[in-house]
Amino acid sequence: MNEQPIYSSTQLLNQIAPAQNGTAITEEVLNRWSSETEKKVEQFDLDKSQQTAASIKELDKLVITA
Amino acid sequence: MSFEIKPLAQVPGTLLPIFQKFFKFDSVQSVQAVARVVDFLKDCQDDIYVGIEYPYVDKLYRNSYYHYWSSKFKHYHRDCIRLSFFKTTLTITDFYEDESAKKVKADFIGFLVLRPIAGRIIGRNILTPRFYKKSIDYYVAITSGHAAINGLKLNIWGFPHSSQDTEMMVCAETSLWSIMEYFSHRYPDYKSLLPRDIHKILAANSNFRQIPSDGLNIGQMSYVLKKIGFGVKRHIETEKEFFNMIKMYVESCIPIMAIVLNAKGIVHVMNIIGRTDFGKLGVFSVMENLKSGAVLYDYFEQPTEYLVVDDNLNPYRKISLTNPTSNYSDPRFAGCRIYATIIPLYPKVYIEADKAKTFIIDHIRNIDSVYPLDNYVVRIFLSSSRSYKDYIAKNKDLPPAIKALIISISMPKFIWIAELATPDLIEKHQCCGLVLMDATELIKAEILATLIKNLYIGILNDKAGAYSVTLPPFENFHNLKIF
Repeated sequence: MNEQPIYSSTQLLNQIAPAQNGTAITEEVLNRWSSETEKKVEQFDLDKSQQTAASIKELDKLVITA
Repeated sequence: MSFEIKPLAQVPGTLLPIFQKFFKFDSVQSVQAVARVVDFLKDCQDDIYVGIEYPYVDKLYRNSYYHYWSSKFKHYHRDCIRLSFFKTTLTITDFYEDESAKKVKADFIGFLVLRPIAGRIIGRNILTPRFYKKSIDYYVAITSGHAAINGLKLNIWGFPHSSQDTEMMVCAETSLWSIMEYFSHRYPDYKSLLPRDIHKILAANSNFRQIPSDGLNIGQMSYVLKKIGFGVKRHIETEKEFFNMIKMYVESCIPIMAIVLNAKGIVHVMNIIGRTDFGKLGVFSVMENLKSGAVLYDYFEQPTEYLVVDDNLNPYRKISLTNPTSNYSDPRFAGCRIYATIIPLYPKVYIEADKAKTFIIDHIRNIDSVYPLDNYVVRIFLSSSRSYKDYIAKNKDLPPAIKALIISISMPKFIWIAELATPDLIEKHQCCGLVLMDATELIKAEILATLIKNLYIGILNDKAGAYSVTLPPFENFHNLKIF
């Protein structure tokens, strides 16, 4: 049997069906995780600034010559 | 102009009188210059043929010449010699016939400019990473270089290199020049940078004379890159993910400038431009234990060596990130460590490697809490969405529906990508899962799509959700080119 030519990406995308446990996954991954990321970003930035604060001032003093 | 072709073995004997007559080197300088060329060609492929051409006008040397060398009392020659390298024997007339010219083009493996400065003769060069003998595959950030040799326009893929001349250009300027040669040849957004351009950019903020060069500090180097359009970031060894960031950026085909130093007062910079293949895989180290009991392993913890373009050494030398000057015989360089890095990022890459890794791992952890996952090796890197979609379109393993799905996703110019693979797939250069993250969304990490265990989480037909897909193992993505 010859395959029918496909002229629209929508035809391909329409082959994809919702997952069985899709609602729970969507709630956890797309909604809850997403709503919590702002706090996580804040904490990440705070941790990072503590890692670099002491040393970054010394960086610009180094002259690269070798 | 003189152009002659010689087998490699005859190159030293041919160059010696040319150095004396053309560069006006004395006999000691000529012998030393020949020895330096021999050292540069040491370990190159056997049986190569070398085109010797002079006088040659080199843009890099001429820039230094007019702004520095010509201002000296002693006479310095303004022209250079160029060596071009070919895999097999060829004749002058091969350049002139259509069929044989195609072979000349295919056999061209790079060029090297010799500048007329005694003791610092190795100038601009671009060589294929296959130029030197090697026993393992290299993954390298490369760009296209052009050279008109004996009238014929030839093309070579490699990373631009030059040794420092120690007066107009020390390692800081040479490293900047090399990085910008790479970016300007590869992307039309950037311009190449000659030594005088570097000094001009820094002139307004410089309280002291700029030549002879006393080197640059990290702030000055970053400033030059910022002025020519990069979103520059610098990192220091005290950062938690310092080495992992180097690995992720190099994997993303972004060459980085590594500042190395030791207690003896050496402060040097080299460009890290690629890595060796992992070869036989070792044990993967644990990155994260998931709630389901599955484990995430770190792809970048496999033992490997990194490739550098260092102006004190020949190009494509292998280093360990923990011992970056192991190739040096000079004892003053012993014990150097990578102290800081300068990362020339595209300005709109707002999320850095360590942040991308944190959020991608956190995202996978969340998926696992409702949809138990398997053990995966995780490889995180940055790519332009255009290159990534091109790879997806051409991927021979992915079914059309998955291709259409990924290609239909609206993406910013740059995205962070996590490839997930079971350990056995890594050896086959395949993966079986993906997380795509927006590289521009700074405050709220934005996952664009997740494909994992026959599940797609993301937007489909304008609706966010979780969907069933058929996701076979598929060939992984490499921005670095394999040699």
